[in-house]
Amino acid sequence: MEKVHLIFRNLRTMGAFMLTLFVFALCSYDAYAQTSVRGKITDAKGEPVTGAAVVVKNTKKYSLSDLKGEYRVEAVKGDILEVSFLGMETQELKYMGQAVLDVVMKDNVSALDEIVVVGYGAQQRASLTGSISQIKGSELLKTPSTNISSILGGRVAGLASVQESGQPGADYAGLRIRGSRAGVNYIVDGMPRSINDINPNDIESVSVLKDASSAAVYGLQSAGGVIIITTKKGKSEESKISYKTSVGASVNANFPKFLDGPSYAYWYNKANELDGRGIVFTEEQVALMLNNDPTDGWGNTDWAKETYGVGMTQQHSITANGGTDKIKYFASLGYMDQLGNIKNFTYKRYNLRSNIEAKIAKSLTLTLGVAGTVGDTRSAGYGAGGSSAAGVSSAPWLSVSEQVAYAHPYLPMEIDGIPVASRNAYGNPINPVAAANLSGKNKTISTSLQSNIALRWDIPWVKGLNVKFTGAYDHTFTYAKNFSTPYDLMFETVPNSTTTNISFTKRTDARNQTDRTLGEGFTQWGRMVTQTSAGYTNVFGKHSIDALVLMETRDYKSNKFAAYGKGFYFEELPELGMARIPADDPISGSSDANRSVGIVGRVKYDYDNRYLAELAARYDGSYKFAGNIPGKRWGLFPSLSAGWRISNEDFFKNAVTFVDNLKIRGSVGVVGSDPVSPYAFLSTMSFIGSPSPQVIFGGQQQNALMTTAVANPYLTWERMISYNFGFDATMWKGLLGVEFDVFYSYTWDILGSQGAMPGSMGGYYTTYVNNNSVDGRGFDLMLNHENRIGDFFYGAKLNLSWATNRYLKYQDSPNTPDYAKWTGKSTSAKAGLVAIGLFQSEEEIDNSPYISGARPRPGDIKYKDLNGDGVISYAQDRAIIGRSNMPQLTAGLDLYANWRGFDMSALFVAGALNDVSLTGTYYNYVDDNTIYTKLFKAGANAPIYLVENAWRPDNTVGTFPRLSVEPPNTNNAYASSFWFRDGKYVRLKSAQIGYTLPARWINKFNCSNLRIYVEGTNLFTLSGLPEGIDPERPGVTNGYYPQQRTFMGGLTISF
Amino acid sequence: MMKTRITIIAILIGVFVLPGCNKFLDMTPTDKLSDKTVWKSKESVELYVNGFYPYISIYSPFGDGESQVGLTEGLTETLKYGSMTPGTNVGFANIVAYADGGISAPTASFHLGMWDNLYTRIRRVNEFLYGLEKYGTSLDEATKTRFRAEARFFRGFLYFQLIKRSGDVILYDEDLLSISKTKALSTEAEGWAMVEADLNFAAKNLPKTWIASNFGRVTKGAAFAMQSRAMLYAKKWQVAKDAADSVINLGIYDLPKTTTAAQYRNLFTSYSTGNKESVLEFNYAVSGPSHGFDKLFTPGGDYAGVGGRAVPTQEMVESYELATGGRPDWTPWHTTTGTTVTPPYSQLEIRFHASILYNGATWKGRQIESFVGGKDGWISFKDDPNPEGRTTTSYYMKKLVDENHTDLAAKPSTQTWVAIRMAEVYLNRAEAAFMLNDPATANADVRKVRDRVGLPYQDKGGAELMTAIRNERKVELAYEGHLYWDMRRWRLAHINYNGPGSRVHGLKIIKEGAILTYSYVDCDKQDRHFPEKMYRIPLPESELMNNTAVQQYPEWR
Repeated sequence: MEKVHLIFRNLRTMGAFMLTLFVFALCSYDAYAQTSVRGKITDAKGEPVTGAAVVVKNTKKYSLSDLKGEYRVEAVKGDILEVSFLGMETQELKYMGQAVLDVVMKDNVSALDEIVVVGYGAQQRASLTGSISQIKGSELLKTPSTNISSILGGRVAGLASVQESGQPGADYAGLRIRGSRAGVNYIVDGMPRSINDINPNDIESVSVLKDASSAAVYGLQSAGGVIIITTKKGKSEESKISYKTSVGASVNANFPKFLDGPSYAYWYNKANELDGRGIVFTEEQVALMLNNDPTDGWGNTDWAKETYGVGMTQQHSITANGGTDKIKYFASLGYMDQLGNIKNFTYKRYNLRSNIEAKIAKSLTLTLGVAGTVGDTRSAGYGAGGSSAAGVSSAPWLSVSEQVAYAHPYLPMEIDGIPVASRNAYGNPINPVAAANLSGKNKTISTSLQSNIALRWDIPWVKGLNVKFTGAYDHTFTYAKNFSTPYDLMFETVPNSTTTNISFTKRTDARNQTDRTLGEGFTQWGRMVTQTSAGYTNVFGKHSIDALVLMETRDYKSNKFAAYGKGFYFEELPELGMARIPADDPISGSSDANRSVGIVGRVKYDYDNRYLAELAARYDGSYKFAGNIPGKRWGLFPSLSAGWRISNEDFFKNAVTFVDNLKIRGSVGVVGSDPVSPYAFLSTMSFIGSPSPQVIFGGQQQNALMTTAVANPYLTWERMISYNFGFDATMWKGLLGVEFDVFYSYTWDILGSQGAMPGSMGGYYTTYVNNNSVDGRGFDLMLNHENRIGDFFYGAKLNLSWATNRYLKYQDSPNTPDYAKWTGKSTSAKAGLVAIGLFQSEEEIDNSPYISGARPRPGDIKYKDLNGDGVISYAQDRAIIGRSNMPQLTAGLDLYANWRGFDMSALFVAGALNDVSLTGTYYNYVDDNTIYTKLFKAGANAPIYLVENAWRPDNTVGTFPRLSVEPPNTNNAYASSFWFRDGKYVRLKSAQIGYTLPARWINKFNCSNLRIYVEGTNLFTLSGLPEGIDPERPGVTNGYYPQQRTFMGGLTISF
Repeated sequence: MMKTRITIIAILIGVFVLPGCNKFLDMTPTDKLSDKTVWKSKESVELYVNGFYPYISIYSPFGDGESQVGLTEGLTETLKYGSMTPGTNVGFANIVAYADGGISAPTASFHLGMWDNLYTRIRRVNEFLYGLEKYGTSLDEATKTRFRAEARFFRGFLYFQLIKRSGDVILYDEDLLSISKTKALSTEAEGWAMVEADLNFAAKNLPKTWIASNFGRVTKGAAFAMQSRAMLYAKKWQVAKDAADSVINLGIYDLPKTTTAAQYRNLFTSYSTGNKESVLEFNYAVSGPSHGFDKLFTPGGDYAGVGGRAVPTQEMVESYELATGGRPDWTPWHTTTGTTVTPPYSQLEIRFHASILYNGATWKGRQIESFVGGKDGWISFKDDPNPEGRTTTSYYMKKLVDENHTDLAAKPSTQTWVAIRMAEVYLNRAEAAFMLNDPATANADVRKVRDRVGLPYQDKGGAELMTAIRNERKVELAYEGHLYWDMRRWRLAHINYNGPGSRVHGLKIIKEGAILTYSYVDCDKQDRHFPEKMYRIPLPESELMNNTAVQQYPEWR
C-alpha cells in the first residue's frame, strides 16, 4: 500500500513539473510594486501550488501563484486575503502588515466534515450511521436538464432511473431506490413535495436516504427510501448575484428506421408472394412514388423526418444571495422554455424562490421560504404518445408518435392541399404531421405556491434545548383548456391484391368528431403540514447527545371542476360562451381529501468520535385504516443504528497510516407504507359510471348504484424491516474514497389484492388484504478518486449497485404448476411462453404442440409445451422466465477535471441484468404485438430491422418471424422468451466542457466570475437491442415521445 | 425537575393529542356513500336495483355479454364474419368455428363461457337481496316484495345464461356467507329448479304493468316469457307451455299484423310506441345508455372503412320463402362460373326485405353496391385481411340496424332492444306443445307467426312439424341471439356445423357496364369443426386453478 502511495506522489510531482513548464510558457504576469505582500503557497507536503488565486477581499486586487508557488499582491493592513485553488480548501487570512505571508493549503478532503441533510435535521458525514448519499447542487448542474429527476440517475449508488418520454414538460425520470417495489418519498425543504418543478439552479443538495434507519423517521411511505432536496440558503457574506443562461437544440436520441415508399412496396409485395397471393404494388406505381408528383396519389414520404424536427430549449436563471449575521437571504428567478421537436408541443416554466433567515431576537430565529412556479404545457389535440407512467395523453393508440409508425411511406404529404391519411389498426385515418398541426390546442397552466415558515427558540435557560414550529402550506392551481378541432384528411383506400389502385376519400380525422369541442377546467389542491419539535444537543466531556421529538400533521384537500361545450363557429374563438351546443356531459366536478399524523423521536449518541449510536422511532396514523379497531390505524416504526470510527482508535492510527478515515456501521429499522385506495375498510356504494345514465324508464334516463369493493376493516400497515451494513473509508489523503453497503430487507403484510380467486365467488371477497411477503438484497459501492497534479485537477466517481428481490410468499393459485409460481421469483419478473425458435417446416408443425385454433406456419414461433398436454396454452404453459425492465445492476461513472480555468465532465451510465420485451406491455400488463414486432401490423409501416431479418423460405436463419401480411396470428403475439432481449446498455448520458475566464480579464467589468460552457445529453448509447430501440423505452411501444439528444451552450456570470 | 416537566408533557400528549389525532384521521369519502345510507329510502334502493337492468342489454346482440366472438350467429350458417384477425366482432367467430387443431378448454371457455362475469353479476343480485333483508328494515313489506321480485327476475335471467352454457354449475343464493373458495358443482336439474323458482317468484309478485314513469321495469309478462324460454333449455315442457300461456292470457301483448317490410321492422321498437309485440325491452339514448351496433354492422358504404363486420350468408338468404310460400330454386346461382340472371330477391317474403340488404336494395336513400369495387364493396374472405366495411357474401345486415342513424361518426346507436317478442313466446309454446304431444297447439302457434307476415301454412305432424318449428325460429328470430343456442340444445350443432357441408357461401358480383355477373363463392375455404364436447362449455382456468372442490367436466379433461 505504501508503494501505491509513492507512485501517486511521484506521478503528482512529475505532472506538476510538466504542467508548470507549460503554464510558464503561457502566462505573463502583471508587475506589482510598493505596498505589497508576498509569500509562497505550498501544499501539505511542502510542494508549491501553482495557479492558486489570492484575492484581496472587497477589492479588485488579486494574484495568481507562479510555478514556484509564489505570489505578490497589493494590500493594506487589515485586508482579508482569500486563497483558493480547485480541489483544495479555500482559506481566508488576515494581512497584519507583514512582508511575507506564506500559505499552506490543505487538500479538499472535506467529505468528512460535510454536512449531510438527514430526516428532520443535518449531521456531519463523519457521524452518520445509516446509509445516506448526498449530492451537491453544483454537481447536478453538470448534467443539463430541465428537471431534477432526470439528473439524478447515474450519480448515486442504489438509485436507478428510467426516463420514458422526451416530451417537453413530461420528460421526468422514474426513480427507484435499491430496486424497491415502493416509490420514493420526496421531501423538499422538510415537506412532502413534488420535485420536478424545482429550478435545478436552486438546489443546494440532494440527500438519498437508502436504509430503513435513515428513512424510519419518515415512517409513513418511506419503504421505498427518501430523497430530500434542500434549496439554497443565504450566507453571511457580501451580496452576490449570478446569472446563468443556456440555449440548445434537441433531436431524437434513438428512433428506429422505417421503410421508405419503394422498399415498402418491395417487401410488401414479397410478403404477399410468400403468402401465395399476387403482388400489390406494380413497377409503374413505384415509379410514380419517385416522380415527385403528389397529384398521382403516390409519393415517398419519410413521416418520421416530417414529424420530428429539432427542438429548442433555453434556460435563464438569476440568483442573489448574501446577508449579515442577523439576516441572510437567497432569492432566485428562473425561466425555462422548451420547444419540443414535434411541432406544437412546448413547455415553459417560471420559477421564483426566496429563502430568508432572520435572528429576530437573541435566541429566536425565523426562517421563511417561499417558492412559486408557473408551468405552462402546450400540446396538440392528439397526444405526443407515451405510457401512462409518464402521465401523457389518454389515447396513446392515436398519438402522434404512433401515427408516425402507422403512416404509409408511399403516400404524398397532401393532395389538393389536404393532408393525406393512412389507415391505422382500427381503420381510422391518420397523418402524424396533421395530427400535430391541426388537431387542436391543449394547454395546462399550473401555478403553485409553496411556503414554509419556521420559528426556532433556543431556550436560554437550558443549554442545547430548542423548540421549533414549522408550518408549510402549499397550494397548486391547475387550469386546463383543451380545444379539439376536427380536420379533413384525404383517406387512402389501401391497395390490396383485389384492388391495386390507390384512391382517396375525404374524411374527418380519427376522433370522428363533427364539432369542435372545448373542455375547460380547474383543479386546485392545498396541503397544510405542521411540524412541532423539541431538540436537545449537548456535549458532556466525551459524550455528545442529540435528541429530537417531533409531531407532524398533514392535511390535504383538492377540488376539481370542469365544463365542456361543442359546436364553435370560429376556430379563433375557443371560449365556452361561444359554444353552440352543450357537450353530452357538460359539467363535472369532484373533491378529495387525505390526512396523516406522525410522532417522531430520535436520540443520537456519540462517544469520543469513536462510538456512534442512534435510536429513532415514528408512530404514524393513516386515514386509510379503520380507527375503531385497535392496532390497525396506528403503526410504530423503530430503528437502531450504530457506527464505529476505527480510524479514530489509537491502535488503528498507529498501525494503518494510509487510511485517513474508516468507519463501519450497521443499522436495522422498520418502515411502513399504506399503498391502498382509501376507505377500503368501509362498505360503500357508488354510482356506476361517473355517474352516467344506465337505464331508461318511462323515457327518463336514470342512474344506478352499485356496491364498491367488499370492505376489509382489518387492513393495516405493510411493514418492512431492513438491515444495512457498510463502511466508509478514505485513503491516501483523499486519493481513494470508498463507501460500501450491503443490505437485506424483508417486507411482510404487503397490501395488495387477494390474487386469483375462483370466478364463482363473483368477486365477493375483500379487494385489499395484508398478504404477501418479499425480501430484497443487494449492495451499493461508491469509489472516488480525486487528485491534483500541479494545477491539473481531476476526479472520477464510480458507483455500482446491485439489487434484487423475490416473493417469499405470493398468492399463487393452489393448482399453479411450479414453473408458473411467483413465489421465489422477482417481483418484477416477466411471465411468458418459452420459445424454442421458429418452425422450419410443415412436418415440424405436424409433430409439435401448438396453440389450439391457430395452426402456425413455417417461420412462426415454436413454443415449449411445459405442462405436457400436447397443446400450447398461454394460461398453462406460461412460466416466469424474464427479468425486470429495471436493471438489477446499475453503474455510473462521473469523470471530471479542471485545468487553468478549463473544466470538463462526463457521466456514463450503464445497466445490466435486465430484459426488455419487444412486444408491447400495456398498462394492464398484457403483452401484445406492436409495429416493432409484427410485420406490417394492420398494414402499418415496419421498422427495417424487422423486415430484413424476417424468416423467409430463402432466409431460414432469419431472427424474426416469417415475412407475411397474413392476418396476424396470435401465435407470435404472446409474451415469450422470443421477444425478450438482454437489456444491458452503456450510455454517455451527459458531457460538459467549460471555461472560466481569468479574473484579470473580467474584473474590469465588476464581474467576479464568468464561465462559458457547452454540454450535451444522451450522446451515445450502446446496447444489444435492435437499431433505434432505446433501452429506457417505456413498456408501451405503440408510440412514445422519443428521448432527446440535446446540445447546449451556456454561460454563468457572477457579480 | 426536568424529568417532571418531560413527564407532564408526555402525559399531556397522551391524554389530549393522540385521541385528537385519531379523530383528525376519521374522514369520509367524497365519491361514495355508506351502504347503510342507501337502504334508508325507496328512491335510493331503486337506484341500486337499476344497476341490474343493463344486464338485459349486455346479453343482447347490442351487448358483449353473450360471447367473446360477437354475435353467436357468427358460429352458425347464417352469418359470416369477414376477418381472421383475433378480436370480438372481428375474427374470433371464425377462429372458434374452425377450431383448427381441435379446440382446447381455455379457448372454448374464454370465447363462450362468460363464467366469471356471470358470477359477478349473480353475486351483485344476491348482495342486494341480502342487504334488503338485513338493512332494508325501514321499507314496507310491499316495497320489499317488489324489490325482491325485480332482483330474483335478474337472478333467474343470469342463471339461465350460465346453465345454458355449462349445465352443472355452482349455485349461490342470497346467503352470502356460503360463498367460498371451495364450493362444489350442483347438478343441471338443481340449477334449472332454481331458475324456475326465481322466475315464478318474479312472475307472481311483479305487476302486470307499471305506472308510466316506471315503464321499462320488468313485469309479470316478462318473467313468464323468460320462464317459457328457459324451460325449453331445461326440457320442462309443461312449465314452458304454462308460462307461455300465462303471457298470452295477460291480454296485453299481441302479434301485430304486418304487410310490408317497414311494418315488420316496427316489431323491434318500444312497447311505449304501440308495439304490442314487445314483452321485455331495453331502451337507449344518445347520452346514455347507448350502444354501437350500427357502426359494426351497417354497410361499408355508409361510413368509409367501418361496418359490415359480419354479413348474412347465402344459406340464410335461401332460408326465406317466397312471399307466396315455398322456396325458389337457387341452383342457377350455385355456379362458380357465374350467371347474369338476377336472383329472385324481389319475390321473397317481407321478413327477407326487413332483414337483409342485397346488391341493389334501397338503404338510406341509395342503392346498396355490394359488387366488386362498389361503394359498399366485396372482398374475398381471408385474401384481404382488412375487410373495412366490405362484404364477403354480397349481403349486409338490415335487421336490428337503424336506417335513420346517419351520423355514425359522432353518435352512438339508440334503437331499442326487444329482448323477448311475442313471436318467440308463440314459438316457445309451439315447441313445448309438440314435445307434450299436442300438435294442434303447435300447429296453431306456427300458423299464427306465419300468418302475421302473410305466409301460408299447412298443418304438419311428427318430425315435419318439428322441422317447421325449427325453420320458423331460424327465420323469425334470426340474429336475435337464438339459433346457435337452439342448435346446441337440439343437439344438431355437431352435425350441421362440423366437417363436410359445414361451409357457408356468398355471391361474388362483378359489374361490367350494366351487366352484373353472380358467382357462388365459398366463404369459409375450410370445414368447420364442432366436437360434441362443445355442448358443454368447459370450466374456466380461474375456477380450476383456485377452487379445489371442482374438476373439469369429464369430456374436457
